[in-house]
Amino acid sequence: MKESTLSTILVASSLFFLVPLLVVPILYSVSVSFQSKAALSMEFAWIGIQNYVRIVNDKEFWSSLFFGAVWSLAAVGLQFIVGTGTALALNEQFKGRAYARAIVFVPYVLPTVVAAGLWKWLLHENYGLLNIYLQTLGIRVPSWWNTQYAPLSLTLVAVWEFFPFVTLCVLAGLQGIPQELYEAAKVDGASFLRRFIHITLPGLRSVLFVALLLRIIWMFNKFDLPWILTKGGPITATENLPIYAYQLTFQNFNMGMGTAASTIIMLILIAMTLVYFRVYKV
Amino acid sequence: MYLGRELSEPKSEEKKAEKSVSRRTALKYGAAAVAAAVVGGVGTYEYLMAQAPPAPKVKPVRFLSTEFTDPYARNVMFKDVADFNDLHPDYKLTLENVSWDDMLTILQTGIESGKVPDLIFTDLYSGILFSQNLLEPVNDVLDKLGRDQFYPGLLVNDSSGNDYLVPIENEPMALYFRKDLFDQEGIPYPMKTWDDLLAAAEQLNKPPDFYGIALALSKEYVTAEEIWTLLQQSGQVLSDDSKTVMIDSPGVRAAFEYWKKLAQYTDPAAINWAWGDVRNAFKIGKAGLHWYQGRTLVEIWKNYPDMIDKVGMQMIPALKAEDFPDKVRPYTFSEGYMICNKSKNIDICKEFITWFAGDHARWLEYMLQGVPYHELPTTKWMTDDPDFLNHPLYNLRPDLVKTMLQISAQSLHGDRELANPSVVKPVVGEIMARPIISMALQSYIYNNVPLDTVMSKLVSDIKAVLVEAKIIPA
Amino acid sequence: MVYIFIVAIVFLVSFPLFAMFFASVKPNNEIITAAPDFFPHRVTLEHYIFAFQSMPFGTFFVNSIIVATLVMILSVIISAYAAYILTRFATKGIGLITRLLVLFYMVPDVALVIGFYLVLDRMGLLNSYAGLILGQSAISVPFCVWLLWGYFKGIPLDLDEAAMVDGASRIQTLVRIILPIAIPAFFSTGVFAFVQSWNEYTLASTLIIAEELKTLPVGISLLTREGAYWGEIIAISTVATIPAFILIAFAMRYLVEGLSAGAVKR
Repeated sequence: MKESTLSTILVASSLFFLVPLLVVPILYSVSVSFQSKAALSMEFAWIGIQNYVRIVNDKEFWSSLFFGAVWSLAAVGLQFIVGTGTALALNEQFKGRAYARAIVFVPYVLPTVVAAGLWKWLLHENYGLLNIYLQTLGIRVPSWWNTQYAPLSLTLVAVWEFFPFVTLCVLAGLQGIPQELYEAAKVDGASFLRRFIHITLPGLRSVLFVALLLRIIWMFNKFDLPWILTKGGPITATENLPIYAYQLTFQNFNMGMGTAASTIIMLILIAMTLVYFRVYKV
Repeated sequence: MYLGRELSEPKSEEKKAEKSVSRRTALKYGAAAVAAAVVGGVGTYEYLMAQAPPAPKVKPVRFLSTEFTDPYARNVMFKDVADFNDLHPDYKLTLENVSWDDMLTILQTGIESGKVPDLIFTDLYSGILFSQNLLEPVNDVLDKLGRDQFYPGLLVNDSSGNDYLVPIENEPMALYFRKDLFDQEGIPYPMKTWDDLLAAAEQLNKPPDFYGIALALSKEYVTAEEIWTLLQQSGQVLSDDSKTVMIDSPGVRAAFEYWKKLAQYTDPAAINWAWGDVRNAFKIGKAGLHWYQGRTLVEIWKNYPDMIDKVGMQMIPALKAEDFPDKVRPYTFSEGYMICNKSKNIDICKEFITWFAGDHARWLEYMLQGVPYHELPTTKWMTDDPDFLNHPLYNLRPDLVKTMLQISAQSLHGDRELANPSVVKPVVGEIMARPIISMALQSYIYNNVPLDTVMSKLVSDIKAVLVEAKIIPA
Repeated sequence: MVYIFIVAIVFLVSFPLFAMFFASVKPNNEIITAAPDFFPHRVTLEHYIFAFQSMPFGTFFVNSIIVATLVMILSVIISAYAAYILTRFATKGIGLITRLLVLFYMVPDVALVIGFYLVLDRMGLLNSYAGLILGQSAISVPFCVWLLWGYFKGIPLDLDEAAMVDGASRIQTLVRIILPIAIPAFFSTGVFAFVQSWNEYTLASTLIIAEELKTLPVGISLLTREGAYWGEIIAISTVATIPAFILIAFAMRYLVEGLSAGAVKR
């Protein structure tokens, strides 16, 4: 038989158990988005795209979309810079290497509720240890969680917690690049930067492609981190789309609109992914 | 360099000739896949069959609660459930102790799958449960226990006289102040009127290290809880039949304006503050006043012992000095047992409630193991019970205990309005629990939106809730 | 230069973590105070004792270890298999479809949890390890497939071809040539699958009802009441990082230059 047919069977067989678990929840969620349905109620009515229309006409939807996009891109960008740099550094020899290699991943291992709680506590205007230390260094701010600074603090925590993901991906990817290439380049007199651009980056290309895609999707969809830190506040200063969708369901008790917002998030990410595939040319 | 070829397509000639696999290889792989599928399928089938439903004699009963997360209370309740199950071998009552944030999801999945929770012990969600007609009347339980023992302001019923809650514990709101600073600055106490409070906050206010009052002004409903008593004294949210929105009144507007003045004397960061922040600011000496339930005093007693003699506590102020303190009805949200009307085990649930609340020793044990002083009695007998009052915390500041018990006795459940306390409007409690009022305050105080705009949005938001609850047509 | 960078990163990571650890042995009035210090004035184990005594955190711990380990093993095996096939001899079609699995991450958890509940309910797998493991694996397999696809794609097809020209079958190629090179990839993917399951909250809180089957994140969430038990939460979290920490320390051997087994020699 053709190899492609066999491969289809094999892949399908390995993933068959996933289908009901993945497809059904998505279909269920999308179907509710076309209904008018209140939480805790079994009654519903089909109302076509009314939920979507209401959302698109809502100012708060657009401000959440804007903030979420900017915040996730900024956070992912920094996660990549810090993460890749850390991976490259960890791959080298230096004193205290063993400690560095272990501690650098702990932020990723912490549950988000703890990581967020930790930073909220450290930067609290009343009793934050880090806040006080920064003040003695002359950096005095009315509050790290007010309208001006909350987006910044949120980005900081997002980078702190998730850059190890990038580090781990890149570290594994680095092991796949043959040493001979570096040795040959060194013999040719190439500088660190040239080696990085011409050997390391191409070698990491497919790994970075995947890691970047996953991080963007996950940061765009991030609910618990901003929710625990600021609840999308003050007012709506740090509200992203997942928080917007959550509030529709859990504070306005409107399941129809909540699932519609979630479906819109999904569509935005699909569109973004298609563009991403094109740009990366894979 | 072959690295450059990593991501390119296979060479074109290879692409044209579709790779073929020999029969043998295909059979090998195919057989392996089929074998795996068969083994997996059979295993799953056997496993599912082995999950026999419980023996027909033992009926599972779901007891869902958000309120036993204080570890002491939790352990007592697990013990009580175990004791109950021993007495009733035909049933298996399972206590599901869940985080407050998950409650709605768990209720939703329960209702959609048909596995409704039978017995529920929660606070704020009672509003939406009531609006969705999911609660079973418990008049018979209350009558059996003796309705008169309960403080009437803490019961929840509808206009046809059906009761839905057996209140077990009460968490009323008190006003805390720094007695030592009041003495030092010569501020008289108790503060009988709201003007007294404002003056005290102003006098104590020494920013940025110390603020007059620690207010919660975030989106969370604690913001609405804090202004609620004043709101009720100044106006009302809904008419008696819940059909007319009455919140836009001169009294309520004055209350909003007052709050804006009061907010001058709190930390600007209060725009983010919720329950913990407000208590903490007071406990660590950054604010001279705050509203909270009993938990503040418990935490001071346990963790900040040098504060215990500096703390003062009083009834919430009144609009007129002569109404203070006996006519003040502070905000509270009593919690207790409710039964889901879709349950198939209603009788055993009623049996449990009667068994628990009818046994005074058991009920008392739960209250004392919980957070005494944060959870207060809902009945007159427990208020007067010497065992309840015999707690190390109480013995340290017996004056505050007296105050708290009076606050509890006079408190008014958030589903009732001061304008006519005999009428219960669960949708009012639901309105308070949503960010509607909190966000109105935020936009008025921080965004300086004109009061007219704030009020009209408030009215339309509340109308939307009434439409959703099917109280008024769209 | 590199040294300065890594020192800065290590410091920025370590400072909060040590602040957290020291806080876990401070009494409450040193954790929330207007004049905090980094080191405790008085060391106390009360948070640890209280947390472990008041709630069965030991049990939650064991549950999390069992579930996360099984999710890790299941996810890595399935996704390695799928990723290998996708990069070696699948057409673009099936590859695209499999990669559309990433679609799953595009819908927020909030919307999916009810559907998950209903499916697992029909399968009779509610309130059991099996149901949770299945659910969490369904979440981690798509991204494990993606990650391993990325790594396998970086392993040139020439290697396979060279081996097969030399007479090895597909299986032998897979085991003798590809696997050793892919070990770092397996370790990193395994770590991700483990950590994601370890910290997973949405499914764990909805699918598991019985108290004795709950996992750590759910246990921690039970203590987040009104901010009253922060010391206990920190204590539990300090202990909770240990298994994942051990796993990563172990995996490091295969992830860093000079120590990994098969990477260099080609």
